[in-house]
Amino acid sequence: MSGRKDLDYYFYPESLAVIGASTNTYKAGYQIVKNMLDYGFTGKVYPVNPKEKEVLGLSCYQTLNDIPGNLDLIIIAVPSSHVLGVMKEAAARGGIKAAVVVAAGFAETKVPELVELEKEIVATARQAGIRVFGPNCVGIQNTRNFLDTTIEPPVVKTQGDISIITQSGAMGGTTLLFMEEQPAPLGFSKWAHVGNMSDVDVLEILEYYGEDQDTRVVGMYMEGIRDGQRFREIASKVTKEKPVIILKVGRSEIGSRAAASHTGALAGSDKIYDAAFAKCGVTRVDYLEELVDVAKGFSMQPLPQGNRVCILTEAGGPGIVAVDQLGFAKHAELAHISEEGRKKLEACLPSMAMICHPDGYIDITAAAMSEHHADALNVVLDEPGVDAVLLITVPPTFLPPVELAQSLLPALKAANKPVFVCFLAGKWCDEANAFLEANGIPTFKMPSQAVRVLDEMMERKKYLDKIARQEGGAPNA
Amino acid sequence: MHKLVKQAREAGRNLLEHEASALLREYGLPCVPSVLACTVEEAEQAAEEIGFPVVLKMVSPQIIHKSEAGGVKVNLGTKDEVRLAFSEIMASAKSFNKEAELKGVLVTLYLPGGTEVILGMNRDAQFGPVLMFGLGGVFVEVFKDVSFELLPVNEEDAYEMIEGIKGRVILHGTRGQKPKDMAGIAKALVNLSQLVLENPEINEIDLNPTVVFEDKIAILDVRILI
Repeated sequence: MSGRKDLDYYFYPESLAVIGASTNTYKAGYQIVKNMLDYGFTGKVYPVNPKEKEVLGLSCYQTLNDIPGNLDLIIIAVPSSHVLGVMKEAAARGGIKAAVVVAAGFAETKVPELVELEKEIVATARQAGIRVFGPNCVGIQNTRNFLDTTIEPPVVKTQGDISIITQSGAMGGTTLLFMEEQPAPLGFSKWAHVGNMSDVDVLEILEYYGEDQDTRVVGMYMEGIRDGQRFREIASKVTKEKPVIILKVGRSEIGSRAAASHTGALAGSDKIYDAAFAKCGVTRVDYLEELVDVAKGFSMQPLPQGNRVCILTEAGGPGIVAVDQLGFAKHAELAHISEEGRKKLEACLPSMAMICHPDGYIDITAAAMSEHHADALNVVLDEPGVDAVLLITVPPTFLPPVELAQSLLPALKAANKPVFVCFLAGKWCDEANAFLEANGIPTFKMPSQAVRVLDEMMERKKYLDKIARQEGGAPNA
Repeated sequence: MHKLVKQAREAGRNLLEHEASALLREYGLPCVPSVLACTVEEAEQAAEEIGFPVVLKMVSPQIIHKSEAGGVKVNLGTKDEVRLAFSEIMASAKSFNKEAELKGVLVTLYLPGGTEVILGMNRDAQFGPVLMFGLGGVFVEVFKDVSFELLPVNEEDAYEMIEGIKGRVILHGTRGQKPKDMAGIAKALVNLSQLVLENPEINEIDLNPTVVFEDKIAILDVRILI
């Protein structure tokens, strides 16, 4: 296939070899081959190990040289002391485009000989036209061709449009676990862990995701980068097309020192990272749960056109929690409901409903049945002063949550504005939340999380408007 | 690269304050009127030209923190006060650093009142030049209430920087005060960005203090390091 990008050989290899493939279930070389078979990778898989005849039913090759035909990707799952030898073999065989080096014990140790060894491995590879992921990394997952080179904790790999880049295999794996445990498992498209970034780095992957048709939202766990200017160029380019959400650790000075010793990247002042992210339109989050929440919002709902949120609640307390959180928002504020809108709400809601106290906040009360929820939602969605709706409900015993969710679905699906839903709570609402999410409506455990996500979406909208104005030839751009 | 920056660079020193002020004025940054005076007579004459009251500040390439060296005298209302201040500054400079080369004093207009703010530029190892804005004094020193923006900074970015500090309410006008000249601050930030982009040899700029009034801003003290 011509015209392929370097990283295509990582994400869409037609064939791959696992060097160090093993029948010992405690070894990475066993687990990686097992992943490929269990998951059903669409390309060819070649186990390589001179000591094995067969691994998981596949005949095992003695050396890379014995593998016939094309070989795009090699996964080097041997101890660190053997990696250079394998890379030399790969270079001599020729035709190989990409390598994942799993073993740790290189530049991250800061031991001069090991730093040198890593450089020699990369030099050997690059001379032979092989790109390098790692060392000290687990590699790639792609839900489109059922590829998984990792030894990450297993998740049900639901296909989705969120792609993940991580500077920590553990945080990256945990992200997928958190995504999986959403009411309806939140799917992903691609996932990559680059370890020491001796060759391919997070920025090259970010750029690749930016151009990837199957990626609509990018999520990243970042400890540090080496080239701020390149980050700016690539992030600015990608955020014009799709949201880039980054969990950047090192908020505190001590945390930033820990991060520097983990990946060996320059830590830098956190306040400057804030400024840089804002300049490039990157969405910054503080916690992994927040990364998943924000990714879910972007993935499932359209961008709000403005910053005005209508809070529609069936219960006072959770509604107040939501309004309170709005008070801390960077952009989001309560919406304005027109006189006409108020009259329509009065007409369709139980008499004790509290409409617009304050403006934009509607407590439909526990007397509200399914049709009251749905009618009120339709009214506020039609309001020109409403850019987004947060619907909160604590279904009482006489209002089965799933029934309520089903009756709300037509209005939710027809909305051209973002609507976030909080069905409180727990097991009582699990099925309703799963039903809503399976139908593309994001749900959140608590209203405060939903407000936080809306606020980030509003920030992105504001950024895109600013870029559009500046590129529209505004003076001083 | 501006000729003043080139000159200083070739001489292996930072910009002297009057050079820095001249450079800033060329970029439309409102430094208070100032004149370099090498003798006491020149200082008196400069004070008359600028108009009383004035400030006298030590000018020496070796002394960056002038106040610590007893090198700043403010609110001088007469020629006699200027004369006395001149000799005091010369004396304290010598006792502060015997080796220091004394170029004279900078005579500037004394502008009481206004709200103190700080505008600055630093170079970040990762992201290059970064502009900084904050309210002066305790706000920046204790509360670290400052905002940062990567270059280039346009007008919209500049307003975001101003709105990015918690102390913005003071600039909006609290307790019956009228709003301060935020357009003036925004313009200064934009001009500062332009200056930095065109003079990459500059490593650090401190416009501290800058004072903001309802209708204008004025930069009272300038430091440019290359």
